[in-house]
Amino acid sequence: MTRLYWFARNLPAGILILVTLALPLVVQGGGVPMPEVPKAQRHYSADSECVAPVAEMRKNHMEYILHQRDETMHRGIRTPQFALEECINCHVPENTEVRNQGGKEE
Amino acid sequence: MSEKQDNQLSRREFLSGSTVAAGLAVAPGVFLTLTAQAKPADQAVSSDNRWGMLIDSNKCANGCTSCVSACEQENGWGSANPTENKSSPEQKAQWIRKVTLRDKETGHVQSLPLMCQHCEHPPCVDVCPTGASFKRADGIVLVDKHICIGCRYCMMACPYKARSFIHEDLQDQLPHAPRGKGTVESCTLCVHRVDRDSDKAVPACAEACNSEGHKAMVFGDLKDPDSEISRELKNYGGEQIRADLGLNTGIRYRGI
Repeated sequence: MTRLYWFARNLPAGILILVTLALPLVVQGGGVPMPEVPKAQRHYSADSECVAPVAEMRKNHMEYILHQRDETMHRGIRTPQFALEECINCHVPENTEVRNQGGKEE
Repeated sequence: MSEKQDNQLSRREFLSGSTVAAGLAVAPGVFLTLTAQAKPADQAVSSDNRWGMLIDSNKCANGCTSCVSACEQENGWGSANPTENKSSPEQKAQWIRKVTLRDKETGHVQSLPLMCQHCEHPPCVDVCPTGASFKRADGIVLVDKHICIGCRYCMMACPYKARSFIHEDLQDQLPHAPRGKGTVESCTLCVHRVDRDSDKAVPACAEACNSEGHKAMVFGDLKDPDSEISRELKNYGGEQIRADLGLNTGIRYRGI
């Protein structure tokens, strides 16, 4: 009971702190810069960027990641289409090689 | 306590013994046709195979480390991955190592490669709290790095010191051997090769040993009575390291 009372008494102070913390966000207007998506090293094929049509990948991407890794790791199913290599070709940025060869951090 | 363990082991042995007996009684011919075909890429591995290796330490040359460097190149560790440069030598990855034995009485020196022994009853799998350390249906013992939390119990449990832990951020990993900080790793018996072509696949270490002309390592299916490894084991035998532990290792040695 005393704890509840303590909470109620400190509520306005708590709200004040939260508002103060959130102030920079409001002032900036939520202006987070757009992420710079790195270019792919190589696409899956000439007519398809990803290993499956874009709409399908958007919907089932996480599903594929989760299940394909178990299929490959535990059951030894290694189909070329959903191989990790194809993920890496597209999703690892172009300049990775340069960074590793030069040994410089960007 | 020991009595209880004895009971468990005998029950396990009884069960595995009875399945073998049933398999033989039902259809020995079916077994042969199944193992004679290569596994299609979209099919799961099965317990119709058990992959193993026979290592003849008499043929293994002193000072030759071609199996180790072949494994490094194949799986991207050791000298093949220079980004692992902050760990001390004891901490660094070691999927396979050359061990030299010297008999104190006769002075006879022999060497042999030592790696994950791919046990039938792997202690690393028993102790793993998350299920990351597991044995595939075809007998290959692996670490699922998605699930591994890096507790290293398996490293302590392994009697062969076959596993290592990655202590630092790595770059330039190979797509078929993803390695990452905070996880445990060990010999995979070149599982990517085995899955690609189960008929003719040979792990990188055995391939290197053959091309060096030593031919000390024979890889094959222990469940296929016609495979080279099965014939060699049947005719000339082979020993397990620490056979007293009853782990039934997939890697067998000769001349130790």
